[in-house]
Amino acid sequence: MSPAKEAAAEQAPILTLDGISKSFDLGKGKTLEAITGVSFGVSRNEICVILGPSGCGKSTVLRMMAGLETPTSGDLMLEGRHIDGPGRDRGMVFQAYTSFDWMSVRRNVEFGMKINGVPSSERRDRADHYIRLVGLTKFADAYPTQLSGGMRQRVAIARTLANGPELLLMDEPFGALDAETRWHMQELLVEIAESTRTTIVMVTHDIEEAIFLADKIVFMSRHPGRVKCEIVPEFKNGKRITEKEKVIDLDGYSEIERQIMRLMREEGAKD
Amino acid sequence: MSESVSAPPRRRHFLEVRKPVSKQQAILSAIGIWVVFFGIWAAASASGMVNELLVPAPQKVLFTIYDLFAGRGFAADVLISITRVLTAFLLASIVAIPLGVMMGSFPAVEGIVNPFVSAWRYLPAPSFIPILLMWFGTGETPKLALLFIGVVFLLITLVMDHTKNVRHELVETALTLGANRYVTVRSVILPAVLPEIVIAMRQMLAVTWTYLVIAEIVASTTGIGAMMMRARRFLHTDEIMAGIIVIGALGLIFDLLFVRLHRQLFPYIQEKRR
Repeated sequence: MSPAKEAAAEQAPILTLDGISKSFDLGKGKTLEAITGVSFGVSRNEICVILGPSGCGKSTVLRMMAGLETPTSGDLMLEGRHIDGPGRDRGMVFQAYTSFDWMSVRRNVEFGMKINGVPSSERRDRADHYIRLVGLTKFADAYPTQLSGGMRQRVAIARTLANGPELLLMDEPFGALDAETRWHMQELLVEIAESTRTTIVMVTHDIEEAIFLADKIVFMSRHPGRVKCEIVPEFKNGKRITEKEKVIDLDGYSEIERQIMRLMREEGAKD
Repeated sequence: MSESVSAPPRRRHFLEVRKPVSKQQAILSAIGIWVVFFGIWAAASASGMVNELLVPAPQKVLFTIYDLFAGRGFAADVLISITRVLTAFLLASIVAIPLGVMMGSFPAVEGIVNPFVSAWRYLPAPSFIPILLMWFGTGETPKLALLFIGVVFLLITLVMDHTKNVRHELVETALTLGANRYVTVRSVILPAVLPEIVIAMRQMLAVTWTYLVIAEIVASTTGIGAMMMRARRFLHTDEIMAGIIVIGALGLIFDLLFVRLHRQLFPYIQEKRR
């Protein structure tokens, strides 16, 4: 394949959302339109960040990708297949800690592979690899309850990646962490995305986090929740930079930050 | 540094709001309250303030406990009572734990079973004694049945509630890792709720002992309760009190065993409870 063709293949979205809406029946013939007409695509190897004020339905959209919720109308497709219920091809990392406390770190990471019938020797090798990737080799035999919040989220990430998903879905995964741990985790995630070429969709309301991580930002507005615009941080020149301060130093960073802050303020004025 | 030198040592009050006491003080307090209890009892007996027939002196009761075990084959009664409690409790657990976990995992199962269980839970188990005696005669069966009825419905409800409290993110994590329904319940919900189930069992074992005494007092010739009823006929208050103390001691021992079992089974749970 020529480089141009390869680039074109990368551009074709593997995940598409087409006119997704979700409404709730409030009784007495009233309905609440929570999300309406959400359409966008996510390309292979892309880090796509869904950003928006609270109440814009960004978590609901992510949960639909995971198959944990169903849209009232519209369609979600992953590599040409309709998304209908949860599956191992779309792993999810939540904001709340989801480590299985009764298993060691290693058995946590092996869990997905075990229930999907991966032979034990391969399981062990892959678990070791991903535990090393998130820097927890020394803690492989510890219980999650002995670990800090950031480490527990690293267990969750390793467990999801070791299961070999096509899509890594993350719902404000660093929201419960303190500021310093959070940016360490953000940098770690960029490194992981670079080395594993995993396609990632992440939900956040943290503007800085979105700009640092995203290849593409999907900005959602609320009442009802819909896609307001897609923002590509062009100033990064399509490069992934693993040090946060270097991204902040780049020309164009503060401009895009200002632009998003203005969008956020407009949304805030809706109350 | 000079500050810490000049700072006067803060006086510790006996009553400090939610400040844990030292281990030494905890042990001393625990022993102390019993010393006071037996002290008042012994003093009342010695001074003749209470009727010796109705309230025998503590040393007499303690001697009776020794005498019952050493000379009058009381150990057989105790063993029968323990066997009854454990058999009925085991049967109740075998029914209640799987059912409670199913009800807490699948709303469809809860929808069927809960309306039934809720009603039975409010019926006092002893009200079944007359009919149980008519159905099962005077053997072991009616006693086991009473204990079973008394405990199974409460245990089902407790297990169900704890199962429902398993965090939904854990279930959703399992689903997005590719778990089917069976794996989700077996490998995630069940191990997540197991520590709570063991605590519920510990609580319900105490309830089982309560029903045991009722069963043995009403309709039995063997067991600790039956011994106490026999003693009543001959005004042997020391034997009745000995029975009460033995039941209390057994309850305490089983409780400690459960605490130890919990620690053994779930080493990953940090010492934050109790």
